[in-house]
Amino acid sequence: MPSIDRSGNPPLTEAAFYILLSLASGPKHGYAILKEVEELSQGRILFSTGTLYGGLKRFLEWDWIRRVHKPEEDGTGRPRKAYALTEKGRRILNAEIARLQILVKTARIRTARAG
Amino acid sequence: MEITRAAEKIFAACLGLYPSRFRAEFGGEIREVFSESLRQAERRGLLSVLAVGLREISDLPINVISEYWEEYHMRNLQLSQPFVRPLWWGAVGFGLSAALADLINAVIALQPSGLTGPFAPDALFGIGMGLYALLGGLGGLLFALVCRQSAEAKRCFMAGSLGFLIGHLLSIPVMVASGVLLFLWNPSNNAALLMTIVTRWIDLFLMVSLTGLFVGWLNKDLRRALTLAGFAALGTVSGGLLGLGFCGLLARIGPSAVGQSVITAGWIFAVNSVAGIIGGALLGGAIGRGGASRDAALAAV
Repeated sequence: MPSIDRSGNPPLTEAAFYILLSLASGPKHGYAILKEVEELSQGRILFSTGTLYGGLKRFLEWDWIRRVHKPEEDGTGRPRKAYALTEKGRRILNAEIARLQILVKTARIRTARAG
Repeated sequence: MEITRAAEKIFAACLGLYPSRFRAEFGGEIREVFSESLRQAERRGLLSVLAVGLREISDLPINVISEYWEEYHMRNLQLSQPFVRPLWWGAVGFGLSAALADLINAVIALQPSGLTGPFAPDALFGIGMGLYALLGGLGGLLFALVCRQSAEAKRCFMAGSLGFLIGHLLSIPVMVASGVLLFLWNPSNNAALLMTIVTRWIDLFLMVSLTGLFVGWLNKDLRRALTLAGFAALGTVSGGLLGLGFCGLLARIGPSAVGQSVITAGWIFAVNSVAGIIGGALLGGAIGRGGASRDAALAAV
């Protein structure tokens, strides 16, 4: 089961990283995030709704994401609640991407030397 | 599909296990997402529906525990951090209101019509009630402004007024009964003095408890409300007992009627100020900060 990073600082857990990454392309509602994370992780990360909203709740508290009302409506005609990255959230995501790039680069250099 | 509807019902019941605040904020959305997941899974067949259900069930215990844990930490954080300033300033607001109310009451008690008989102060009780309600409201308003919660100002004003007013309303039967008993026991001014002190003490006890309760209620926390009410009541009882001892001693000495009324007014003021100081200190102590407790006591002076 995926868990959400509680520290509020990188390095992020894989689950937290994918949630933020799923919002990088624009605001999404809960179900869209669920599907996007599944797709981005190639089916490795499947959130339950409780885990997803537990994570979203913390990200809201840490000001990484904010709520927006999407023009798209649900079955009842109400506007759907969606989530979008804040400036802080985007900075956290970019910092994590940069950290992962350095990791990969270091690993490539080391494995190339070994090879 | 029957199984989908059953799963939705079971899931809705399981959502009830989460803390109420989490449910209120996300419950509706979670149900929608779950229903949508089920609808999508239905297209892929029964196994997919079961997989969605199992995923939810297996994650449920840890998610529920995790949310309660978060709530617990959040509550501790609220008790130790943002509430410190508002709470002791609230105590100051209360102390000032009580002191002002007592000053006015003391002036009223000095009027010639209020000098004799145990029921004389009751003639002015209505005026006192109105003043208390107004001052209680102003105390509430001060609380709201100092806490920078101007959006809540109206509610705080009403809560303050109600706290004071209800406290006084509850004290009426006690005041009448103790007055009758004391008058029957000893129909002298000494009895009137004792009656006033006793009823004022009970009056203040109720008033402070209810104010504490309302302060807690404003913060939507029953546990905190009860804690504040308990501590405030304890503070008033201590102050009241102290004042009662002194006034009882004075009543035994028994000075002249006019002098006695002045002493009564003065002591009522003193007793309530002591109660306010101790109540303020204990209100500060209730939040677990020694420094705040000392500051609240100093400010209430």
